[in-house]
Parts: sequence; C-alpha cells; structure tokens
Amino acid sequence: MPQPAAALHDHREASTASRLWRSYKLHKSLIFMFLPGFLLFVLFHYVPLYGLLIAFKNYQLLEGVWASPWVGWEHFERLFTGPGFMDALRNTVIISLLKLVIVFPAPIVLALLLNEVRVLFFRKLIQTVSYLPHFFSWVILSGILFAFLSMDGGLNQLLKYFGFSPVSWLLYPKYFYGIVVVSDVWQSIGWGSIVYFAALSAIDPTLYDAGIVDGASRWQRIWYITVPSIMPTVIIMFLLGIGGFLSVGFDQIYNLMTPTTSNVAEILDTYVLRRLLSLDYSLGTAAGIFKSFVGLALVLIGNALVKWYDKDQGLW
Amino acid sequence: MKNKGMSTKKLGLIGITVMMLIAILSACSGSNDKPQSSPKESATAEPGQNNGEKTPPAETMEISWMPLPGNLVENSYAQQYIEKKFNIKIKPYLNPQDGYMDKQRILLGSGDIPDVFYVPDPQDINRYAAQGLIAEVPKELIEQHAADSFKVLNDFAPQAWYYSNYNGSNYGLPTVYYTGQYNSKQIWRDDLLKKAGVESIPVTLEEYENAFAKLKAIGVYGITSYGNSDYNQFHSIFGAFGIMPIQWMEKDGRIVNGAVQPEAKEALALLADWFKKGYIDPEFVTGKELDVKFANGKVAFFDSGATNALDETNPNSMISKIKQLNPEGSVAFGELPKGPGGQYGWAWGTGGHIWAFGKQLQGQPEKMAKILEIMNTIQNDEETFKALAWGEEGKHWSYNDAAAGLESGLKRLSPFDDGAKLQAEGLRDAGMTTAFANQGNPALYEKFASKQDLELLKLNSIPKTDLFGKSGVLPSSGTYWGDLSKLKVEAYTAIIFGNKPVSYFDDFVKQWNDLGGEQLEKEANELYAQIKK
Amino acid sequence: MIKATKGEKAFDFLNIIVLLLLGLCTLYPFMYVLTISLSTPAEAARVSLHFFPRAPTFEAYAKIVEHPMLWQAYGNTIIRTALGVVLVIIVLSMVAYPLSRRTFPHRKFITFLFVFSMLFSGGLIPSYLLIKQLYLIDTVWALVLPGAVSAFNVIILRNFFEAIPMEIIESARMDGARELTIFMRIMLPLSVPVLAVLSLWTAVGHWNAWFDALIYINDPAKQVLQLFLRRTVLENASLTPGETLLDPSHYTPETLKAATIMIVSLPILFVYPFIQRFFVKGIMLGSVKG
Repeated sequence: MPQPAAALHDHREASTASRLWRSYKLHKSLIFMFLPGFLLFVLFHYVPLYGLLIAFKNYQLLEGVWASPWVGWEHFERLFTGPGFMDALRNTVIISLLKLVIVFPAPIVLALLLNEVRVLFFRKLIQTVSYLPHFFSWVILSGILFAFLSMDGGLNQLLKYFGFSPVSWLLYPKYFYGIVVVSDVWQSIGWGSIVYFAALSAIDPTLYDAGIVDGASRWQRIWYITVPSIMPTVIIMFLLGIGGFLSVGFDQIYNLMTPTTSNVAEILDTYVLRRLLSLDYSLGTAAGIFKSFVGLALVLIGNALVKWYDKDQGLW
Repeated sequence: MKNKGMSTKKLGLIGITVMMLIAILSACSGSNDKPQSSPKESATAEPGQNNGEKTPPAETMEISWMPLPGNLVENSYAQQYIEKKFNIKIKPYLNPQDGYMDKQRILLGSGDIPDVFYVPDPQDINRYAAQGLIAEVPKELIEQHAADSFKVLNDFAPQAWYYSNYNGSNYGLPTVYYTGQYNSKQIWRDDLLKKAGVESIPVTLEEYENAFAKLKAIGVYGITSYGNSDYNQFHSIFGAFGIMPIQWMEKDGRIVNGAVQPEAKEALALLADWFKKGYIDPEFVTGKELDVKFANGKVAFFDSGATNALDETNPNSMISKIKQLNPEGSVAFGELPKGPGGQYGWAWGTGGHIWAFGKQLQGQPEKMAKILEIMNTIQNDEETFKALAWGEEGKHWSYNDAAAGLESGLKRLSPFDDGAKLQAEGLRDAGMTTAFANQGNPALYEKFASKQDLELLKLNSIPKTDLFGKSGVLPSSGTYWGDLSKLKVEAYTAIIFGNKPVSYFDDFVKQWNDLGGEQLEKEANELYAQIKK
Repeated sequence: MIKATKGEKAFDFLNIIVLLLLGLCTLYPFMYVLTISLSTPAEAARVSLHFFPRAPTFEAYAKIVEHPMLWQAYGNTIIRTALGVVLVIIVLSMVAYPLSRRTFPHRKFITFLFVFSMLFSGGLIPSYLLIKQLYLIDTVWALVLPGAVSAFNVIILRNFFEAIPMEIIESARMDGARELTIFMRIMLPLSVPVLAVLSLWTAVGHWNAWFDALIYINDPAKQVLQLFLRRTVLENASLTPGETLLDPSHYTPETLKAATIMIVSLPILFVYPFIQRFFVKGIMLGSVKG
C-alpha cells in the first residue's frame, strides 16, 4: 500500500543516501513498472554507443572498434578543413533557420485553423488529405516537383495563362531555398499537425464555456485558451526538434539539387557523403558527433530559456 | 542542487549496467561466425535428400557465396545445379539489388566475410584490400585454375585487371562485360527533322548545327542530356572532339584526364554557343524526364538511346510510347556526331565486376582453387553456362522459333516469364548472365544472343572507354574523386548554361589540379606503368 | 450559441478557402501517382498534370498482384506493424508514466539520458553486432525491439501524462487505489488521444521502414513490403551507370512502379481516418467528472 504524498515532507535532515532509499521504497511499484522498458532502452541505445569511438580511431574493420589504433582529432581536422566545409555549414544553418521559422510553425497553424472549422466532415477530410504527401519518399516527390516546376509543368502553364513568361524554377539558386521550404511544408504539414490535434482534443471544453460566459470573443478564446493549452506540446516539439538543427533533410535536398544550384544546396550531409564514398566510417562518425554536439548545446540552451520563462515547462 | 548527488550515483549505476552488458556481449563476440551458420545448415540439410548420394559429411566442401544481387531464394535451381555438378555445398548470402552494397559492407564490417562475393565497384576492392578483408589471388593461380577465363580476360578485357589490382597485387577475379564494348544509340525524331526541312540525318557537327537551327524554327530543341552526370553529359559531342571528360586516356605518352584537356574547352565553347542560340533544352541541367521530352517531341535528338528504341513489339520502347502519343511520330538511329576529333560515344568498357575472396581463403588454397575452377567452368563451358544462364529447357525456356533454334533467341516459359519468379531460381532475365559467376565469355554471349540484338549493338558503335575501365580506380580516388566529379559537373554546366564564360575553363583546370586532380594524374601514370610491365 | 460577427464569418469563409487550397496541394502527389498507375505507358509519358486518370486501365495492378513475393511481404509487414504497435503502447506507457511523476527518483537525469540518445548514436556496425549477438538476426524482434522505447515518444507521452491534473491521481489514492490501478484505470483511458497518435506514428514508421529489414533480415521469405517496393521502384538505379543504358531489358515501366507504390501504401493510409475518432473533445471532461 503506497503512503500518501505527505510522507515526502519530513526528510530534510536525512542524508542523501537514506533520502534516496526512501524515495526508492516509496516508488517501488513505479520503479518495477519502469525498469523493463528502461533496460530495453539502455540495451539498444547505449550499448552501441561505443561505436562513437571510431571518430577518434583509424578504424580497421577486421580489428574492430576497440583494437583499432587511436588517431586523436585527425578525422575532425579532415572534416573541418575539407574543401567546401564552410560553405556547407553556412547553407545548412540558413536552411535550418528557415525551416525553424516557417516549417516548424506550419502544422501548428494548420491545427488551429482546422480546429476552427465546424463542419466535422470537412475537418476530417482535410486532416486526412493533408497528411498524404508524408507517405511518398522524396525520390517520388521530387520527381513530381521536377515535372510540375519544369518549363512545360503545371506552374508555368498557369503563369503563361496569366501572361507571365515561364521560369525554370529549379535551375536558379535564388529560388532554391523557397522551393525547399515550401515543399517541406507541403510534405510535412499534415503529418506534423497530428500531435497538435491530440493536444487540442485534450483541452477541457468547460474552459470555452467559461470563456463564452465571460464574453470573450472568438479571437480571445483562441488566443487565451487554445494557444496556451497546446503550448507545452509546442515547446516540447520545439526542444526535441532543435537537437536536429544541423540535419536539415538530406533526402529532400539531395533529390532537389541540380548542378546549377549545388553551391547553395550543398549541406553538411551531402558534403560528408561525397567524402565518405564508402568504408570511411570514421569521417562519417566525426561529422555525426559534430552535429550531435551542436544539437545538444542548442537543446540545453533552449531548455534553460524555457525554464527561465516558466519553470514547470521544458524537457527536465 | 540535490539533484547533482543523485545523478552521479545513477550515472555510476548505469555505467555498471552498460559495462556488464558490454562484457557479456564482447564475450560472445569471439565466436562471430559459428552461431550464425548453425541454423542455416539445418535449413539446407533437407534438400540433400533428393540428391541420390548420401551426402558424405567430410567430403563436401562448404563455400559461403554471395552471388549477384537479385531476388534469389535459398536452394534455388542454380544453387542446386552447382552443388550437384561440383560436389560442394553452398551457403548463400542472398541480397536484393537495392542496398546490396550497404548489406555487404555491414557483413564485412562485422566480421562475417563470405568465401566468395561479388563486388561491383573496383573502388571497393581497393578499400577491402586496404582493410585486409579480402585475400590476394595471384594471377598465376588464376592462370592455373581458371585458364580459360584468364585467357579471355587478357584477350577481351585486359583493363579489367586494373579493377582487381591493389598496390601491384591482384585481389580477385575480374569478369567480362560483353555489351560494355558498345556505346549507346543516337536516336532522332526523323518525323520532326522532316517537318523542319532537314532531308537526311545529320552526321557532322555542322550538319547537327544546321538541323538544330531548323528545328528551332519549328519550336523543337535540338538536344538535351543527363546534365547532372559526370560521365554522360553530352558525351557524344565531346566524343566528336576526341575526348571523353573524366575518362583517363593516353596522350603523347602520358596518362591524362579528359576533363581538363583543351579539346574539352573547344567542345564546351560549341555547346555554350548552341545553348545561347537556343538549340539546347535548358533543363538538361536536371537530367530528368529525358525520354518524356523525346517522346513528346520537345527534343529531336537523344544521345543515350536504347537498342530496343525502334522495337514496336515492346510496349516500353521509345517508338511504342511515341506512336501512342502521336501515330505519325517516328524514330531513326543516327551516327555519332563527327567533329575534329572523330566520332566517339561513351562506353562502359569490356571489364565487368569482380569476384572477391574472403581473407580466410588465404589459408585455404584448395578452396580458392575449387572456386576458381567452378567459375572457369560456368564462364566457359557451354553446357554449364547454358544451364545456369538459360535454365532447363522446357521448364525455364524454349527457342523463340524451334526450327531456327539458337539463332532465334530464347523465350521464357510461364511462369518464368515473370522476372521475379525467374530470379528466385537464380536465373537472370536476358539469359546472358549467371548469378553465381556473372557473364560467360564473349563467344558464349555471341552464341546465345539473338542475331538481331547483336547487330543492333554493333550499329554505329565507335566506343571510347576509360583506360582503366573506370575513372575512380586510383589509390587516392576515395579521397578526391567525389569533389572532382562535383567540380566537373558544376563547371561544365555553368559554362554551357552561360553562367560562366568559356574562359572559366582555365580556372576550372587549376581548381581541378588543386583539389587532387594532379595527385590522381600522378597515380594514374604510376598505375599504368605498374600494370604495363 | 453566440451569433457570429461579420469578421468571424469572413474568417470562416477565408479559412475554408485556404484549407481547401492546401488540401488540393497535398492531394496532388497522391492523385499523380494514382493516375500514372492507372495509365498506359504512353499515357504516362505525356506531358500533363496527371491529376485525374483519363482512361483508367488496371493492367499494371494485374501484373503486380500475381507477384508471389508481394503477399508474403504483406504478411511480414502486417506482423511487424502490429507487434510494433502493441509493444510500443505497453512498454512505452510503462516507461513514460513513472517519469511523469515529479517525485520519481533521478527523473531529470533519466530524462536527460533519453534526450541524449536522440542526439548521439553509435552507428550501424555496433548495432548490427548487438542484434547478431542477441541472436535476433532473421527474426521480427530485430525490427521491433530496438525502436520500442524511443526517446521522442517517451517524452511526448510523459508530457501528456504530466498534463493530467494531479488531483485526479490524489483522489484515486484517497480511495485506496494502487499505482497499477491508477495507471490502468485512469491514466491510460485519459491518454487515448496521445496513445492514438503514438500508435499511428509507430504503425506508419514500421510500415515504411526498410533499412533495418535490409540489414537484419537475410531470409527472403521474411522480407518486408517496403523492400519489395524499393526493388520495383529503384530497379533502374543500377549498380553501375553503364548497364541501364545498354541493357534496357530490365526496365520497369513507370506505370508498374506507380501501381506498386499504391498497393504498398494504401492500407496504411486508411489507418488515419480510423484513428481520428479518438481525437474527440471532452474525453478528459467525462472522466474527471465521472
């Protein structure tokens, strides 16, 4: 029989160890519930982590990770001094920022807009239709995009109809980021909004009733009830997303780039791929570690900012 | 914070857990291969029953074998045929084509090295050899145990030895690739040519240019290309200048790369001029939907046509697509454009892929000899080749025309006219390749291919192939080739597209050399000298 | 109901228009592939929007459905998906619920461990060796166990649990309910929307996954649907660049590729409309009051 939470109060003077012990005892059943899954997690996510060592080793497949000789920071030097690294990093940061500002909020806006639709059938229809592009890989989507944006494609037919001259959209660097952002929204908006629908459905309807009684307008209800209610989900999605700051969608970029746009399209992942050709696991791992550390730093900073604003929010 | 004390403790706890797990795991890792093979063995035990002999356990040699990518199944027809014929047991590693190399690298990386496996890219031979994963196969051993294949390689595809070469030693058995001696077809929409007022199919570059000018007048682009490909971009135009960018070639006694030769600059000047005049489809840059553009009559000339382009019986051929869109449309084969440097088209070359041998065979010469003998028989013995490339008569195939026999070519029988079912048997669609030994010798190819196909392959073919078969085979290619290939595509595209003047070519050459081109050229000359002697 | 103001009416109208346009855009790739799959090869080569099939033909579908590997792969993918979802729901909620309790020991540190695992991974070969040493090669467990407890899902679920008012738990405790009872009878029913989302994510993830199957599954009879799809769609992407140009006999027509994409994707597309009914407002309300 678990004691009521009151038992937590009186161990101010107890030592850390005994306090811990009491906490363990108190949460005995929760710990038993927690452990199987947690061990599974450690097994599959922490045991293979020793593979990170190969970023600092001259990895010999026959020798294995442990026995391969150490080389220190050599692979990182190779990574950072390779021709085009700075350009790739710059492009990656630009694309990532654009996606953060435009692609990240898009599903939230969609969820809010759909939430305002009163015709249930229409809402469900748009929900379902909007998540369809998620099921096609970028190989397929880029094929469709290339056809649609070509000189004879749908967009240029439309432009011609209105008297504009057609443009080869995918051949010019100046349009590239726009196409990347718009097509990413296109592909991910519906899928990304699902989690916000779940958050919206968890809002207590009595809040709205109270709002109506208080005379709040529709905008006020959206702004003061709906938005704050899904804010925790937004924050968590943001913090989880920002860890991948330097991974900006290899498949998408790789499939959309052309020889005339590659100077703006080259990102860290494509840069590493060219150097990887094969078996150069060390360089790939070094690049991965670099990206992970940047991600980790951003998550820590982001989480601290969130906590500073509201200490009940954030990842931990 | 009290949290700090807790987390260090927890960290220790987790650390211990992890250590224990690693210890347990590394304890079993010593016996890497053994546990894997046991379930497989029990699986392969059953079909032995229908072999008449009572599987003598000590006698049969077991060979782990990773055949060509495809949808084979275990104990396929082909596997059983080889097992019976050569009295061996095969433990197959079956990989589909998609992801074949990923899987191969992971297997090798985890110490699970097959005795013999198929390596498509010669670069990988370099890497595997450098990592000590594969066994050296002295040429003398090949000459001794696979004499016919040895002779065929020397006569038909001597450059294939570069594929299996690492630091002057031979690391595998290269194979031949018959169709690689021919370049792709030049195809024209002759209906559009007529409409534009061009009477005959152009041959010289001047005639090409005149035709393009007239085509432009009726709103049709002259030419498009795989603009995103390093080797294929406008290959026949460069060929007319006697050069094939990114191929290694001999010039005045030195080995040089075609991409940085002055002839390439001349070709680029012409292409840039054509582009400015509106003869080139601007979306050549994307390299996409080329067949669609051709079929729709947007472009009149295509330099990478297939041999079946005019085959109206094939629903997927170019002519079939065109006829359904426009019954008046027609296609004709043309000659390669003729310029100051002659007439050449890009060709893969006669060297095929490579069979590599796992490191463990270094200590098992009799096994290596046996595999070489099996390869030699499949690649050169007519009966064995036919059984493994065509299959069983009456079950997998019959002649197209029983009276004409071989000359009429093969016809797949139901249900094996379905490529998937056929591959499950260990057979390949066209009947010219075996899953366990790749292609047979050229004489066999010529014997088993239909006459019509052979003639079409030879039509207007003036191939230009790389001196080493493939540009990326040099020791430092892994370091530099990715950057160089990207640089080449970007620079050439920029010049043709008009983003950069033709004089930019000189900057490009300098960048090429700085990015490793110079080093590779040095290595190319060394390699050439090494194999020559 | 309060009467809608003019501004609100205008907003409703604009909203519908915007959403309709968006729906049209996102419907396009689906219709494109569907149209190609129902076309003749020549029709597919026509320059067109391919938004609607002109003269539908089921030729391509007829060819694919008789493929022997298709149905086996279907079975394998369904097994993997179902098992994956069940596992995720059980194990994940058992991990996330304790973590959602603010008093749970080492809560912050464990959460950090989860987040850390999202950022760092040891790479392919250590993972492969692990699976191999656990004797999971060629079993469905190699496909479902590694992803069963993913950090992302744990944190999402934990957050939803956290949002459930503490008073509910407290009052249940007052009534003498055990932790397990609280978990099963209160927390899980209250989290149906988010569990539905996680099930959908997991199901779609498993349905679309192929790389792990490529690496961990050797037996062709145990192969999954996505590899079947990739084989068909990417068959032209040959190992060597020269081959496809010269040996066009292996060419897979666009119509067949499109039909394969449709056959492989359709079942999972229908999962979402089914999941939608769990996004009903007021689930919380009912249980708090009841």
